[in-house]
Amino acid sequence: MTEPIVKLHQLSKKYGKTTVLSNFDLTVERGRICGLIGPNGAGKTTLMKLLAGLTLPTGGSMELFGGAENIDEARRRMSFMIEAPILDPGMTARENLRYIRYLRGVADEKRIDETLAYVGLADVGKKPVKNFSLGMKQRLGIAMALLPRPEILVLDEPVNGLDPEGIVEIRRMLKTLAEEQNVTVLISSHLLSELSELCTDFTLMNHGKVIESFPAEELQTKCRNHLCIRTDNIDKTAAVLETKLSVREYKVVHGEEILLFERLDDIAAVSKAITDSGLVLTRLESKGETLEEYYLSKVGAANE
Amino acid sequence: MNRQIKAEWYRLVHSGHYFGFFLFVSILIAGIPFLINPDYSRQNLLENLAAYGELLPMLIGAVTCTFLAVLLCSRFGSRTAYYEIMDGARPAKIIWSKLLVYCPLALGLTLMQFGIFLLGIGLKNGGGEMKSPALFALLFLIVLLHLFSVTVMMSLLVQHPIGAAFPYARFMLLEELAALILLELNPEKAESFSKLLNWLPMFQLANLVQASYSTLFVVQVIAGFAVEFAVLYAITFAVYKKRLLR
Repeated sequence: MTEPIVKLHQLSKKYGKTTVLSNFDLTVERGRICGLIGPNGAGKTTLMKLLAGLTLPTGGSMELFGGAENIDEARRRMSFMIEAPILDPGMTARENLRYIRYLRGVADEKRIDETLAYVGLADVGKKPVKNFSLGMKQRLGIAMALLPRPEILVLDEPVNGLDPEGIVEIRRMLKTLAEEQNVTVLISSHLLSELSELCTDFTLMNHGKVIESFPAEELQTKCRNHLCIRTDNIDKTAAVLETKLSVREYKVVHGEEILLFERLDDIAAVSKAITDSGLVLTRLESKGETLEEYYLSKVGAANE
Repeated sequence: MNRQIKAEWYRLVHSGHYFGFFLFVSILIAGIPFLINPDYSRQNLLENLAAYGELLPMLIGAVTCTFLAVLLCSRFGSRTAYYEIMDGARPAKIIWSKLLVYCPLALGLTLMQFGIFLLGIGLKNGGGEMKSPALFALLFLIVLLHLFSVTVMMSLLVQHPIGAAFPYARFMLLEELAALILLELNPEKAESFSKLLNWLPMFQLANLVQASYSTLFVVQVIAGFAVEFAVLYAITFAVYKKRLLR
């Protein structure tokens, strides 16, 4: 287990009487990609603004890089893209990046070309940003965040406006950064299918609170993968499963099919037990909840 | 702070086309007395310079300061002002880097606009109770710094493109209104009220242009700048320390 690079303890934020974030705990280890998942108004952007120093917490604490340096110094090792890319429309892509280069003290001018190429904007460096499409602006915003080689990258909906190829590119790029350069990524997105492919850790949140945090390894369990079984006699099938395979975790749905939560890796044995009993097997399928379905069920439960 | 200053200068040079508009408006306004009275005899040129001089406070307060506020407030419109905060810059660095970029810029623009006039008026009118062009230049510089530093810090406080209207509201409407209420409604107390109004930078500028200044006036220029700068700096520092951002 690597050391935590981001540690939020009981973090809270109120605007007047409105609580936007409440006793929020989050720990992210170095080199991990943490997905923040929540509906609009859950507090994701507020959390990112707290990390960026654009607002101050009303309670709790933030520890970055193990607390070794003060938080303003720590931010010099981080980059942010929050709400939307912050671009100067009067400048070209290259000039926007050069502005960041000067501000962040990046010595190497070649880093600008490298970053533009990395996000697929190598050919439009001299084009004014006001003529960019939404997708191009997103890419440039990501480039501006990557330019100073941050150790922590905080991205708020980075794939908004990108075409499918662009989304895949960004996913690959972030994975490479985390795996090869040990960059820690904190990312929010409404594209849960993308997050499920990308993230190593997930934090579900709603109404400013953590509903659940878990690593990707637990996603399969959490999303309740199962075998879907249909036969000509569901009651007899249930009995067969209990007696021959000692199965206990299953659910009969509408009297038509059985959802079996055990023996997921032993489909052959399940099939044999059913057919050997003289039953006609009409459907045997491995299925699972998607992250989206799981998230909706948790958020729905949290709202009750 | 060097990084913030370098980045800000870079952004000013490369972003937007406001400078052309500023130059156009400046030339247009500067040409007004000459357009009204296009006699180019020496006597008439001096009279036109004098007329132009009377416009000087308004031109600096309304045109140059508004231009300064537009440059700064547009940063909040595009949110590029927040990069320094996300970079971990402390409030003092944020404020001083803006002052050290925008005040010299505004001074340079003012001198460019009115350089010839300032030279002529300075040499001709370095009198009053103190005959010293150097003192005149120093007082003029302090008053300009007063105007520009107030504009910079108010822009940092307003944090919205609407802040571009502040210089006009403060230096033209508010100060002129103060003069109207005090002087026009109480003409018998004009002298006392003039001494009071001399704490305000626009009136200080008007007095300088007319070469009307005294020891008290010198104290008012320096102390007026110091007090307003200190108060505004403290407020701006507190706002950025507490991250009271839009």
